[in-house]
Amino acid sequence: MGEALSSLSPKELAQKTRAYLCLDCSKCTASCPLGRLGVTYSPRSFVQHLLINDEGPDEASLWRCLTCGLCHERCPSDVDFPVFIRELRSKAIEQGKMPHPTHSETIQEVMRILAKPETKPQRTSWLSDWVPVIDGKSGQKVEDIYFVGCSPYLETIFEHFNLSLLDTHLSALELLRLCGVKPYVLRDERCCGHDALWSGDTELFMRLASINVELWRSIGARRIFVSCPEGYHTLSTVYPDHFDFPFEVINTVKFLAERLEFQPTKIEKVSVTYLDSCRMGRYGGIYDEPRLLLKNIAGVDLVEMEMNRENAPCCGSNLWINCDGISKKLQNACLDQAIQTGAGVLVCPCDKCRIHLACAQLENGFLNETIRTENILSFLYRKGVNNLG
Amino acid sequence: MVSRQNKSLETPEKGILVIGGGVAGIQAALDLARAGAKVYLVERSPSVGGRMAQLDKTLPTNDCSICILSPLLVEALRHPRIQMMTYSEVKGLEGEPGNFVATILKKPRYVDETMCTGCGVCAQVCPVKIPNEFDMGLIDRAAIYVPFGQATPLVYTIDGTACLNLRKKPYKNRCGKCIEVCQRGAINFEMEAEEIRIAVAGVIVATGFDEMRPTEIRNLGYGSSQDILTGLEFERLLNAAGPTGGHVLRRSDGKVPKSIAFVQCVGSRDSRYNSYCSRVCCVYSIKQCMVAKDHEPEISNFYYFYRDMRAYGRGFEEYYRRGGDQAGITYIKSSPSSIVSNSNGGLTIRYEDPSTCKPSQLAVDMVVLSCAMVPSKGTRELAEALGVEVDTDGFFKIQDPLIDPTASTREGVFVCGCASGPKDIPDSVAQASAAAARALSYLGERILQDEPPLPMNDPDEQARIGVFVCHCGLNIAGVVDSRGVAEYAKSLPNVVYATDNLYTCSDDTQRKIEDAIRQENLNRVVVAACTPRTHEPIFRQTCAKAGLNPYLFEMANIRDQCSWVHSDRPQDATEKAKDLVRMAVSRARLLRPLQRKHVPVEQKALVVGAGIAGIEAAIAIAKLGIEVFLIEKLDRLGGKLLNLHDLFPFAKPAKELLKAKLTEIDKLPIEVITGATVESVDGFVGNFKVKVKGKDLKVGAIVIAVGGDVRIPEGGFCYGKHPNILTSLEFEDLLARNGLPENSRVTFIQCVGARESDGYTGCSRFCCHVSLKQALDATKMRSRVTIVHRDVRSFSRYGEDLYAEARRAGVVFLRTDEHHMPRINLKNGSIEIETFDAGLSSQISLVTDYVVLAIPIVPAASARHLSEMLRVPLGSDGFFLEKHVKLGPLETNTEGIFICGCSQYPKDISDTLAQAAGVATKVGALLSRSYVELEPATASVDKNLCRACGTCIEICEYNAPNLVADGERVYVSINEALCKGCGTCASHCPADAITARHFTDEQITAMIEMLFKE
Repeated sequence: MGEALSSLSPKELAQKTRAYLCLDCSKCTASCPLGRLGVTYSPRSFVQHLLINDEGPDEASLWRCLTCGLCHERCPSDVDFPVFIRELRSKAIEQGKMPHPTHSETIQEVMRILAKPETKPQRTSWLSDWVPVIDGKSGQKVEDIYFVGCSPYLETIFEHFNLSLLDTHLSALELLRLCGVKPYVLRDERCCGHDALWSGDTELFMRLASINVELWRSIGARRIFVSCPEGYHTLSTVYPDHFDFPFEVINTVKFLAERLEFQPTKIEKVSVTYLDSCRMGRYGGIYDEPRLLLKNIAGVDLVEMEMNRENAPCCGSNLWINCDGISKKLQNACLDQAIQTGAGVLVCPCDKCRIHLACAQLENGFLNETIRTENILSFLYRKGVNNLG
Repeated sequence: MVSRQNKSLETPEKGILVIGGGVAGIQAALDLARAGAKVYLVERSPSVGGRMAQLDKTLPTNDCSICILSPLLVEALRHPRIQMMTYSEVKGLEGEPGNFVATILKKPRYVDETMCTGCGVCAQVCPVKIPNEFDMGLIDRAAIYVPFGQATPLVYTIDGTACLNLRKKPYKNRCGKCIEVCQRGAINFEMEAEEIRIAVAGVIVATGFDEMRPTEIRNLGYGSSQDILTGLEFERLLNAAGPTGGHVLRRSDGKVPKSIAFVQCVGSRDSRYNSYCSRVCCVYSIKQCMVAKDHEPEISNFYYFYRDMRAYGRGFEEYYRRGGDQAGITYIKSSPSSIVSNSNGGLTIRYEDPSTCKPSQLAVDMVVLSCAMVPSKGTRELAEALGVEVDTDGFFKIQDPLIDPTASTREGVFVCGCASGPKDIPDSVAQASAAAARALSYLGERILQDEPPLPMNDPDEQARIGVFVCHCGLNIAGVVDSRGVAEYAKSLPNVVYATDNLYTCSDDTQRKIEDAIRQENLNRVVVAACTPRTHEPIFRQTCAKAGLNPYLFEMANIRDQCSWVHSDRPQDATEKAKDLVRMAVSRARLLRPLQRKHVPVEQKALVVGAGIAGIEAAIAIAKLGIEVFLIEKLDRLGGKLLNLHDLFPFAKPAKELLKAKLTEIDKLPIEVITGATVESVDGFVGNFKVKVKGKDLKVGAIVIAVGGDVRIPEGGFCYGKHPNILTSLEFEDLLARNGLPENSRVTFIQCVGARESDGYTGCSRFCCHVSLKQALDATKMRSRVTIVHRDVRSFSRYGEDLYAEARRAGVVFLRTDEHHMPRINLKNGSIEIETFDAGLSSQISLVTDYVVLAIPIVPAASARHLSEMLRVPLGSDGFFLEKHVKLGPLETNTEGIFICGCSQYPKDISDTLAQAAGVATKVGALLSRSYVELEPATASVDKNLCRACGTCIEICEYNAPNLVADGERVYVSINEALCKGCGTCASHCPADAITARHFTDEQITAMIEMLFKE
């Protein structure tokens, strides 16, 4: 197990996140999506306060950050403000402070249950028959794993949104099969811990992560396919910092973009727009592959939102904490941008974005439902499978 | 221009290769040629001129950029020692320093240089339209083109990638329209590339920079709206010869914007693109605001977004204030986060309002992005061809900027200007001269051709006057009816020829003037154009070439004194232009031919001051084979270097640098005189007599290198009241001698006694760097360091890295402003500082163990006296005044006297070394000959009328008149070498005994009479 992040001193924190290099140029303050709603949120001020006065942000500000990464994206000194705030949250949790969880803390509770080694999850019944399933303790050795993540739990909690969250993975597995890959799904896999980590609950994150890593090690996994952008980000960049990590983490969308070939026959005219979710885009740098896949499907007209790629809007909520009127405003602003494109479908790689947007749509009595959301993998499979060469 | 100048490549003389024909390359070539070297000037594009030719005005004087550059381009083209090879590229360099062989590829122009007259008919019929690079693609050009009106040489070139005939080889007569119209038969599609090998002793790389295209920085919107421009694009928009004729118009709707925003540091000081500072943007944007306001008074708002205002050059701080006070620029210390088109057809900028620290937005009609200066395209390939390295930013690498700021990684190859990193025009020009001095020392043979005597015409012959009226693009013709003025001139007495020209200073018009003089048998020439200050030499030279005495030439300034100042009243301006021409013609009729005189030269130089500037100047001059006296008022050489320990940027010990330089002095013909000052100065260029320690030194040239004094804060900031409140110099000493106790708290206060609105207004350029370096040293001794600043001005090469390193080491930066300078309270021996922190908009107080006051360099105490003795004026800031703020940083208004280092203005060691070496080329050119030519347009005394009253002696600024006794008679004689021909004495002489030869009473009276005659 790696060193616990939260032990960082302010100086180490400033060094790790390059906060020392802040030029006080103000780009971040004006970039923050909260600022657009009249909430002043100034990353540079928090950094300066820490550097000058050794003071962290007030508690409300500490949990307010969406970790969308737009400030980091535009920072000329490459100051990693999201990690800066993540580490400060971790410190706050150590001191007994807590964010405000949403949905009666259900999702946090699921994480806690999964973090217990004795928990035996039953979460594979929805899979197609052909998908090979494996038990981590079976002693069997397999090379390719498909990491599902928290979709089965979220589908149960948000069933009334009709988002068919499990379709994402069924489609991903079908598409992978077309490319000649049949990864195993691990029956006792845990949540990746992304939300715990970014909420500052480093300890919970480490417990979840170490169970996962242990499972992969015991079955001798080599490649891990991940469709969820948060999961992909966590497995590919955070896990290797803390564990001996001999696994290759593969983003399903990226993998498919390199291998899938489509026939350019035009079947059905459909106009779609694409939301670069933060973990896929700004964190993962994956912008071109999803667009390549969408454009290569016959009949798809990809219309870009006003803000796209590295400037993409935030879906308004994160980590199942601190959801309020501001989150709703951000969600509606994001939907508005998508609607303005005139597209009928908002394709998104992140199902959590879809849940947050659907929540806003539901609250509006689906008044905005001139657009519906769909995961890029489900969309690809549904639209593109007929054209696959 | 090979055959026109009758230059043959068959047995090329060994020379110096200069690569790049921008202002740096041109300056280096001219310096070398003036010193007698053979120069091969290779330029990749069809014309020399470079980036400076693209600029509209230069700051802080707002002079027209091409107007001051163009005479140099023409001089370089005409200079018998310079072989200009345009549209050519250097492909290889073999051999050793002193004996290189360079391979040059002459690209096919498809137009015979010897046949093309530059008439431009071909371009009018060419059906191809592609973006014009010179206008940054804002307008189109044909496939056959000259880059700009004053292109030098004025020869057309066919763009092989665009021409319908050439795009697909082999050549078939697909178009051929240009062939049909070219009456000279100059077009030749069969032309092939040619490889030339020439022997060169040294190489100077002056390949300049490109402007970064900010398409990658998508949040700033470049490319998404036509009304978001780069700095250079906007510069073309401002230019009278540019795509809009100098009107600031939106490309989207052709309307004048009401508001413009300027954004600094686009792609500069940004770790994702270029981490360095581009050095010029902060101030050029202020200039762009001022010029835009001048061109379009209806623009009511200029918003200027910046990070640190880096107005570090001479007069820049004042310019920055002027921008706010006069042009009404709103300066906003904030970097915008995004720029997007809004529904009103304008642009919305999102930024943090520094006064409230809250996000805000602003709608404007146009945005100008100051984009990074990046290495010019092809830098890497050229570096490979030359066998030199590039640095981490892709610029040509300088081996050691503290030994020689122009030396590349290969001996004998030197770099100047922006090829080694961003810099402004005067710094580039100084470096060019420095590179020339270095390269010159590798060249054995230099040939100084004697200037032939001037042609003398019969002054009493009936005057036959030719009048040439300039359009100066639209600079004049946009207001004044130049053609009408030319027509009018024809009606004036003695005028036998009159015409109008697009650019009278361009190479082709010079040829037209020559032809007219010969064909029309002209014996007087009048040019109605710009200012004689910059252009008279070129026209005089043209007259001489055509066999006309150059003093039979007269100029009427119908631009600066007419079209520019009366742009709102074109009809009246045209009438005034006619008046000016009529006056000029009346004077021309009375001009007399004058002959130059030669006086012998003392081929020795005196360098005053032995700080690093003086030491380097002495070394560089001596290396050119000239004896040098180096005098120093103290008993040791080294100046300020003696008080420094480690030098920025690579922590080179000052001692090591000094030792290396002193060792060189010992080997060279340099006589060092310590404990000595200039006691008196007599004489003139080539023949100075300087009294030092009671002895007369006879020298031909003098270099002022007296540096400056540090300004001790008298009483301010509790200086002197606490042992730990120190100046930067004292702190430097403390760090080196004793170090700091662990966990010391050190607070730097920047701009102590500098950048004041009353008092010393200037910025000392190096203090930010010094404090950053000392701060880093202190952190290494485990101190906690805070720097209270007004702007961090770490603009130097590697300066931004130093700034980043200091931040990484935990140095805390607090920004304040002039009105909230820190206050120091002493309480029972402890030091408390109260200051404003603009970043958090709050008042802060901190307790510290040490206070370091970053103090500026101010003019040396001796400067005023020395200035009076040498008759070299001081600027309003008290530093010695250079001849020209852009193009003459090393010369003074007194011939034979040069300046370098901090005596001109504060600067760091690297910039000082460049200036000092640069001075050597100037001195070398002057003292390589055994004589100097004297200007004949001086005053003369009729000794029969002179009453020896002494009035002239009293008023002359230049010490030219002296009383002489000739037996019984006493009268005044004018020393022609000192006389500037200003005419002051002539106007004061009560006996009318003095005549200013080129400004006789008769001539002046004729002009005045003519003014009132219709």
